[in-house]
Amino acid sequence: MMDDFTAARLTMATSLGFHIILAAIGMVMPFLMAAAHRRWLKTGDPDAYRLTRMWMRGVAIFFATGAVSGTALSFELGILWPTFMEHAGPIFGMPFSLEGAAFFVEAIALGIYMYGWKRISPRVHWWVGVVVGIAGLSSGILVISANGWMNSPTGFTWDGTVAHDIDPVAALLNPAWATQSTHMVLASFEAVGFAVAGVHAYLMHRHPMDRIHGHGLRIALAMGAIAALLQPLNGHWAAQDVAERQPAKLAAMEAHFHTEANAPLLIGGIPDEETQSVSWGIEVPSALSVLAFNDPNAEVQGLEEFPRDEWPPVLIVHFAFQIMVGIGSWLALLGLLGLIALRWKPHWIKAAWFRRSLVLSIPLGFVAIEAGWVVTEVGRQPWIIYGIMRTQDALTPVPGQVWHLVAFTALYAFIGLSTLWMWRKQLQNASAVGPPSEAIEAWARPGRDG
Amino acid sequence: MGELIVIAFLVLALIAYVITGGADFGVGILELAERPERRDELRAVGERAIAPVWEANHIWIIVALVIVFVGFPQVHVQMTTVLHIPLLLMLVGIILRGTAFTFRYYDIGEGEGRGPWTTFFRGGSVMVPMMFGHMVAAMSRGRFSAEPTSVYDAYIHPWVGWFPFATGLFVTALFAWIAAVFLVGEERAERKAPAAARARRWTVLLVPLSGAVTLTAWLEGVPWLVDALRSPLLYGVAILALGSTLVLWRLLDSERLWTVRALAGAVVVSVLAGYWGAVYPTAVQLEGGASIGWHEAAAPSATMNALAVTLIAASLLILPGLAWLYRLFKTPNPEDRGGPVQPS
Ligand code: HDD
Ligand code: HEM
Ligand code: HEM
Repeated sequence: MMDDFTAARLTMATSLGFHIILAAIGMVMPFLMAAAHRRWLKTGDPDAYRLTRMWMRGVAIFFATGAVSGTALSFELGILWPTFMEHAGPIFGMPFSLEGAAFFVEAIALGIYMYGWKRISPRVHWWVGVVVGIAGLSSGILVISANGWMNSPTGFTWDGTVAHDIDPVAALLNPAWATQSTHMVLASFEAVGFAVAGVHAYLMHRHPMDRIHGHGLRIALAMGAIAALLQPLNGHWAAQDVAERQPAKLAAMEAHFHTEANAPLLIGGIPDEETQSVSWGIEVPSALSVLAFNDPNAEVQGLEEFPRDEWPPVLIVHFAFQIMVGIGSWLALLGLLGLIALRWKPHWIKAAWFRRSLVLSIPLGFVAIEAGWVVTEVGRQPWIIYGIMRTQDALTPVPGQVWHLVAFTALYAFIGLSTLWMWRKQLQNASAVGPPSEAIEAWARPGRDG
Repeated sequence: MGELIVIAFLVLALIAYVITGGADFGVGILELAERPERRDELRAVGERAIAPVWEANHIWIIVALVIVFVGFPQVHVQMTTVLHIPLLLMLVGIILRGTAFTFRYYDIGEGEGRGPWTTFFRGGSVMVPMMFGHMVAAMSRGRFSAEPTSVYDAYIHPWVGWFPFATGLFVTALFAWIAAVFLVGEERAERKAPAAARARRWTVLLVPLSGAVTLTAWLEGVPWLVDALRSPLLYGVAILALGSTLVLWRLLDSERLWTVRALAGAVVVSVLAGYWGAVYPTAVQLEGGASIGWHEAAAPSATMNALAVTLIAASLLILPGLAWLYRLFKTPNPEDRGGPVQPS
């Protein structure tokens, strides 16, 4: 039977891996919704209204699942890693308490937005929709600070067993926060943008007469494309940060065993920790030195510099990094083509090759998000707080963690599948979403013709 | 100073959760208890009542949790390890209830396809207060063993027993009662009388249950009970609770929505304040008389001050928002009298 430690790690990874998808959607969908809503207010186009309503349902369904899975997570941190929370709680509490405030704003704004049609002024109503997005984005950015702190612990001194001189504000403003949060925000816009664009590309093909999908595709594609072009630059910044703060993580990402100057960048390849070598990879000369330090002659530390028991699992981290960067490169290319299509080549949008590329890319952004988190979290191992506390030492004493893992995996699988199934039904019904009623028209656009 | 402010916010968050979140869970419990032919109708009213607000209400439990893990790390460790099992069951309940509610509400067509969601919604609505009650009782009843000799001793014995069970039932009935009281105000005129009768039935049920809680606490020899029975505080809050309940009984089917809500709130506040007053400053009572107090378990003052400032600043932002939300959806509105609000 699986030991408690492995089970607890897998439970954590499953819960987070589940939550992060909903979180990404929760951070971005409100903005899509608000964009369509604004277009409707400005032009009176009934299709923009229908799109708003459709996306609003998406926000509602995903938000509820995101909220409950997030709630589970906040308990889970303590359930699985009580020793970690006992020491970390008072230090990295700021992001969580601020995040709580952001949740409140988000939930209130969502309630008012969803049920406030015709009850408040249409302008205020639109702004409330924007607030949903801003609050969601803030909660995501804030909670990343907690994760950044685990990667770059600051704001306390450690005597080996207890923390002293706690400074919660310094912990909040930890050095990893900036790169990680910007990268995650871009990742969300990229993943959700392409996923929504792909879904509408598919529906456009299925229901060519319904103009709603063309609108949806364009708004979402523009959003995803811009994010996808910025993401590699931001990722480059993140990598430099990691090179400086967590050299062992960088070495694992690159399966870089031996310290060298003019270090090559490894594409593909199967690393072997025992022999400290890589088979099958392609090496791009000096590229790793450039990626990590902007200097082809820079020396990059290899894993050999670190004691063997401080190595992260090299194969997993390297593999995950390859997946993320591979997808990032593909989506950047697709994004570039997308922007060209939107601006200069409108007929591409309807072309089969473009549509297929978009449909195939529906899940890719999310896969990259998962892979990126595997890089960050597995790459931090064996530490739960980098350089301070080992994950092993934070484990709960409660036995039988396998059952916890089984139960929660089943629960999330069930909820995840149900959410997808719900969505399928919603999408099949998309064309049935009606245009604005007269009452809605009169409320939102008094004295204007529809 | 920071410490006291943080404790005050913790109590406030718990009270707010029991009143508002409790009412949302209560709707599920009421559905379960309703006669089958009435359930659909009750469901429509209940859904309309909680849809715009339940997500906001739910945040209070997150606020309470964050306060505990940031401000009182030792208490949090005890909760998450010793009470691991009821906590996980409560989480399962929270997850199922929340998703099931949304899925049921947004599912299009096929009335019967909602079957499983309805079951999960109702089941989750009972599971959460049951486990919540078990945990609250367990923390004060003095069965946390300092040196457990078996898994049973360490993780089951602390929360399994008649007193936790009675508390679980009481909390469940309390949640249902709050919902029953609030729902009277949401009903159409001709349905008000039966709804008020339902609320009165739940009121009657609370009496023997609170007796059962006291009796089981006494039988188990719960350490704080004797002192509590001698303290004037207990009689003060008991009188407040009883008085509010009696006035409420009369006003239930009146048009005075906010008076009714305030009275129900007063009952909850007195129950929680009575309990808190009886056990404070103990956070966790250990076996053999030792205990962990809120003040001993408190994080260093830098943390507490930062937390207090955050909480105060956040409430300046949030309380007006909540007030707006409630004013929009919890005062009579010609828009939605007499029919369910359309989802979306
Ligand atoms: C759509 C998703 C996506 C895409 C296309 C990329 N990333 Fe990424 N990456 C993430 C989504 C992500 C993430 C899931 O959001 C992570 C996990 C933790 C974090 O802060 O961001 C992440 C982490 C992460 C880290 C580790 C940061 C740390 O541990 O502190 C590095 C070095 C990179 N990324 C670098 C890149 C590069 C060079 C990319 C080139 C294309 C790239 N990422 C594309
Ligand atoms: C603020 C955000 C996050 C916090 C506070 C956090 C915290 C933690 C903690 C406490 C652990 C257990 C200790 C460990 O194994 O390192 C962990 C592990 C893990 N987390 Fe995160 N995490 C966050 C975000 C994420 C996200 C979004 C994912 C998405 C997939 C993720 C993926 C993982 C994985 C894969 C592990 C297992 C690592 C291993 O055991 O090798 N994390 N995280
Ligand atoms: C990096 C990872 C994370 C990101 C980007 C993120 C972001 C978000 C977002 C945007 C939401 C809003 C809900 C939605 O729109 O679906 C949310 C909900 C939530 N998250 Fe996360 N989260 C992350 C990790 C965590 C972790 C580690 C915890 C717990 C410790 C957590 C706790 C919560 C809670 C309690 C909610 C529910 C709030 C509500 O009811 O509205 N999140 N998260």
